[in-house]
Amino acid sequence: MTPMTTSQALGLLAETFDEPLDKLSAASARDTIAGWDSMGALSLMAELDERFSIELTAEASRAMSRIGDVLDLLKRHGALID
Amino acid sequence: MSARGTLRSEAPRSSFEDRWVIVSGASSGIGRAISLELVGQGARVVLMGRDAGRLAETARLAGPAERTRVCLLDLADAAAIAPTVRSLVAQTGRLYGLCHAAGTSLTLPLSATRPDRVHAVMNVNLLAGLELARALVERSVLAEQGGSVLWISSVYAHVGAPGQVAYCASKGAIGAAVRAMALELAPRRVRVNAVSPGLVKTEMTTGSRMTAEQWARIESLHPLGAGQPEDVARAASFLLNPLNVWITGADVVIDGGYSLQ
Repeated sequence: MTPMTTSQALGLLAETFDEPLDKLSAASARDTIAGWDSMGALSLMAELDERFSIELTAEASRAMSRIGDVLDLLKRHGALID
Repeated sequence: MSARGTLRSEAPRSSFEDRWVIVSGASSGIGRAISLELVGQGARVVLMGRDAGRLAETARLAGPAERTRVCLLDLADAAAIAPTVRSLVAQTGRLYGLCHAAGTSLTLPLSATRPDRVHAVMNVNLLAGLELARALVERSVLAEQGGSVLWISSVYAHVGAPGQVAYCASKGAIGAAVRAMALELAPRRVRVNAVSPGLVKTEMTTGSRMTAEQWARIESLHPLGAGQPEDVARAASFLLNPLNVWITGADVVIDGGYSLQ
């Protein structure tokens, strides 16, 4: 696992959800991100698993309502360095 | 004499009669069920897979030790496949059949279907099976009377589904390969077939990232409900059976009616 900065994590999420980076922040709500649908959630699970060995369950994924929830998860797993 | 006539005239009149069949992915799920079914039908089975403990459990479930042989092999290591199959012959004598049941799934949108992820799926689902078949039909490996190759494909070889681009592609490629192999190998009395299961309850499917709701939705699309590994195993045994000398190039869909709609 290679920890990343919050800025890098936002870049990863922008790529994962196919969303412009300048539209994403910790406060961004899930329902405002078109790419964070059921398929986007699967992409997020795959990225978290492959990059950080974080196994995100479908239920935990569904409970996430904003980008900050993903960042909090990364922090809890030591994947954020700032 | 035609290949058909040759096949029929020299076919044995009973079931597997101790013939050796390699089953990849024998450590769990459909591969394990097929292994047990084949042993029950009189075959001897090379249990191939990566997990020694699980393969040993399959062997235990199969009964007498002389009916099975565990073969540890990581199918992602393509270079190791042919030497491993050749080395088996020294222990078992020539082989009759192969069932490529090992497989891996990938449920991701196209945007996340990167080449490395596609390669991982193709390597196990398609390329490993081709390499196993290529090794099996070597003249020093295959039984002189011919043999049988069976691929475990998927209903996703026949229909599409969101998030299944790589998986569908890998299983569709199997169908095409089966038809070509069946024609090419018929003169050597090697039959090549596939079964295409719908949703089967295995560790691979229940351990996927699907939510309970997603699982229920897919299961509801199967008029007869989700299948069990044993449902696939019975069809697999039928197609591998040396008595069925005139079945080649077939792709038997076993999906509880899923693809009828």
